Amino acid sequence: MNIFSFILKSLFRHKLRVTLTIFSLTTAFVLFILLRSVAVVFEAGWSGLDESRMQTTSKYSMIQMLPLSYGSQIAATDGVNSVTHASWFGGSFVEGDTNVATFAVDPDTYFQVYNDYEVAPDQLEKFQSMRTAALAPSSLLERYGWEIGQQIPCISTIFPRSNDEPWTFELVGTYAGQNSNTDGFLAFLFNYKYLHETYDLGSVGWYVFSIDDPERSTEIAQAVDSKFANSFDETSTMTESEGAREFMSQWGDISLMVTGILSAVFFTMVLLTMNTMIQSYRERIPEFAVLKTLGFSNTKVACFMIFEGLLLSGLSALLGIAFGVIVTSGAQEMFGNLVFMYLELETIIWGAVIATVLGLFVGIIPAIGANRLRIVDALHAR
Amino acid sequence: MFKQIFSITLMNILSIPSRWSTSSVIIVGIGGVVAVLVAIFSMAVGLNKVFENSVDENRTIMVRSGANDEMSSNLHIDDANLVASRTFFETVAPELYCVANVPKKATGYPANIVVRGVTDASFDLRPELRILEGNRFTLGKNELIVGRKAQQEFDGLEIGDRVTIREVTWTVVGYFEADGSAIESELWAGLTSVQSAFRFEGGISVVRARVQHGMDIKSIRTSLDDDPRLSLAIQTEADWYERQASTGTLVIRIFGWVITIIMSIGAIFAALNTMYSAIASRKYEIATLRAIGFGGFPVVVSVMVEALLLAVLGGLLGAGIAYVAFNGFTVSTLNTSSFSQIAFDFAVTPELIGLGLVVSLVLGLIGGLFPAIRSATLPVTNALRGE
Repeated sequence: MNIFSFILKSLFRHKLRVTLTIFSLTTAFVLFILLRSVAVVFEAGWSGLDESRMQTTSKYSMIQMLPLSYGSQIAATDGVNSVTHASWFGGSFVEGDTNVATFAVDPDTYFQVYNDYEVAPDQLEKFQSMRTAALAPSSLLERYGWEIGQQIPCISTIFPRSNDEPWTFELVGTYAGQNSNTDGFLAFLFNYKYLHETYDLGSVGWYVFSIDDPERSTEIAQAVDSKFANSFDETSTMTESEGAREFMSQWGDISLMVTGILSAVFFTMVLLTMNTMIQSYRERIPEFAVLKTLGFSNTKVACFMIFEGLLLSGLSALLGIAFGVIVTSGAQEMFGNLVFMYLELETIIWGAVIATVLGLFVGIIPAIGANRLRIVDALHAR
Repeated sequence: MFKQIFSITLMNILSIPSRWSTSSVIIVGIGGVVAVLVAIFSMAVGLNKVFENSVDENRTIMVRSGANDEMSSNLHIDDANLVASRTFFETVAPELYCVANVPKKATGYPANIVVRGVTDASFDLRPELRILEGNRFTLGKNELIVGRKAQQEFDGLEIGDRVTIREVTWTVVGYFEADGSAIESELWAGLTSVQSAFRFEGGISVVRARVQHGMDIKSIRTSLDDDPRLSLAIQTEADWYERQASTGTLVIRIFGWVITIIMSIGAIFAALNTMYSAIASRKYEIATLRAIGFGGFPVVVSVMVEALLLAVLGGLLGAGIAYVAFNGFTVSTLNTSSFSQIAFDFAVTPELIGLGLVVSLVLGLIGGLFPAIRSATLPVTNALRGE
C-alpha cells in the first residue's frame, strides 16, 4: 500500500461523514465560481475592452445627448483614428422586456472603430445600404427565435412613434465579438439614419473612437474635452475600460457584497470541515500511536493529517469548480438578460488557491495534535 | 405513546450539551444560510420600501403618453395649467426632472443625481417631506435643498456648500427627509431656476396631482384622453412606483434564491452529518429503549425534534447576525430608468426573520428525516452487539 492510498483510505475511514462533508464544501466552491463570475463584470468592466478605444459622453449624464457636429471635431483631434457614434434607443422586443441593449449606430464607421467585431461582408453591405437594417448578436436570434431577413417590431420608450406604433427593423445579419463569452453584452444595432430621419434628430448618444497610441489616451481625452469646454454640451472623454468601470461602479459595490457573502460561506464551511477533521482525528488517536510505534516520525504522522485535509478540500474544489462552471453557464442562459456574468480562468485558479489554503488550515489542528501525541497516552486512550 | 415520545425527546434534548461539537455543525451550517438569505432579501425589501413609502392613494402622476419613467417624459407648463383647470384635482404640481453629476463618497467617481425643479405645490402634495435643517430654497434664487440620503451618499452637499450644475453655481440651504422614500436621494430647487439652468424654459417632465377624495381614476383618465390638447397618461403613484421597483428587486430576489438554494444544499449535508453522528453516538441507548418495548415512531419523533430544535437555533443565530450587522445599513444603486442614484436601507423585517426560520425548519426537517428513519429501523440486536 503506497502512501497516497493509505491517506485516501484514512480519509474515507468514516465514509458517510466524509462524503457529506465533501458535498457540503462543494457547494461553497460552486457559489465561489458563480458569484465571482458576476463580480468580475463589475470590477473590470467586461473583458475584451480595447485600451486603444475611447469614448466621449456628455459630462453631465450618460443619457444626455451630444450634437451631431461633434463627430468631425473629434476626428480632427491629433492622434484620433476613426470616429463613430451610437445612441441609446431603449427598445424592447417583447412587452416589458427592456433588458436588451438597442443602439442606433452609424453603419459606415461603427465596424471600423470596433474592428474586432466579426460581421460577414455582404451582411455589412446590406446594413450600410438599407435605412431600416439591423444587426444582432446570434444569442438574440436564439432567444427570440428570429431569422435573418425577418421584420422585427420594436417599441421604444425614449423615441415613441405616434399612436404607440412599433418601429420595424429588418434583420440583415449577425455580428460577433472575438470572445464568445461576451456575446451577451453585445447590443442590437440598427441604422442611425432611420432614427435621424424619423425623429429629425440632430444629436447622438455618445462617440467612440480609436487612437494610434494607447499611451497618449489621457492627453487625447483632454484635447477632445477642451474643444467643447464652456459650451452647453460639455463632454467627458475616457478610455472604454475606464468608462465601463465608472458605469459599473454606479451599481454599488457589488464586488464588496460578493466578498461578504463568500466570506460568510467559507467561514461556515471551514468550521464544518474542521469539525469533521477533528472528529476523525480523535477517533484515530490509538492508530497514530501504532504508526509511531512502527517507526513513523512525528512529522510524518502530522503530514498524514495535512494531506488528508488537502485531499478533502481538493476533492471538494474539483467537484465544486466543475459544478460551478455548469451552474454559471446555466445561469447565464436563464438570467443572462437580467445579470451579466463572465467566467474567467482566473476565477478557477483562485478557486484552486482557496482550496489549498483551506485544506492546509483544516488539517493543521489535527496535525499538531498528531505530532505531539505521546505513544503511551495515545495507546491508553483506546 | 405520547408519554414515550415525550420522555425520549426530553432525554435527547437534555443530552445535547454532551454532544456539543457535533450539534454545533447543524447550528453553524443553517445559521450561515439564514444569515446570507436574510441579508440579501433585506436589500430587496429595503429597495421596495423606498418606493412603497412614497405612496398616498389619492396621489397621481401624469407623464407624456408612452413614457415609462420621469426621465423620458417631457411636457410643457401649459399642460400643467390645463390639468389644473380640471375640477377633480386638488393640488397640481408641475415638476421638472433632470440629472446632474456629483462625486459619490464611496467611489470618488461622479455619479448621476436627480435634480427636481418644483413649485410650492410639490411641498403641499407631499406632507411627509420635512426640512431637517436649514430652510427651503427661495424661489428665483439658485438655492437647493438636499435629500437626507443624497447627502449621505454624495460628496460636497453640506449646508452652505456650493455646487456647480450646468455652469450654474447653487448653494445648499437645507436638508429634508420624506419617510425614507425615493425623493430623499434627490436635490430639489425652484422650477424656473432648474428650467433656465438646464435650458428647458417652459418645460416640465411630469405633473403630480392629488385627486379629490372619492374620485375614480378611470373616469379621470377618460376625461383627460378626450381632451385633444393633452397627450397624458395618468396613473396612481402606487402603480407607478410598483413598476419602478420591480426590476431591481427582481434581480436581487433571483440572486437571493439562487444563493440560498446552493447554500441550503451544503447545509443539508451538514445537518445530515450532525444527525447521523447524533444517532451513532446514541446507538446503544436507542437499541436499549427499543429492546425494553419503546416503539420506532417515538424514536423517529425524538430525532426529528432534536434536528428541528438545533435548526431553529441556527436560524435564530443567522437572522440575529443579519439583523445586527445589516439592518439600517445604507447603500445606493443605479435607478435604471434615469441612470441616477437611488439610496436605500437594508430592512430586516419580522417577515424576513420569519422566512429565515421557515427555511431553517425545512433544512432541519430534511436533515433530520433520513437519520431518524435509520435510527428507528436499525435491527436492535445488531446495534446492541455494536455492529
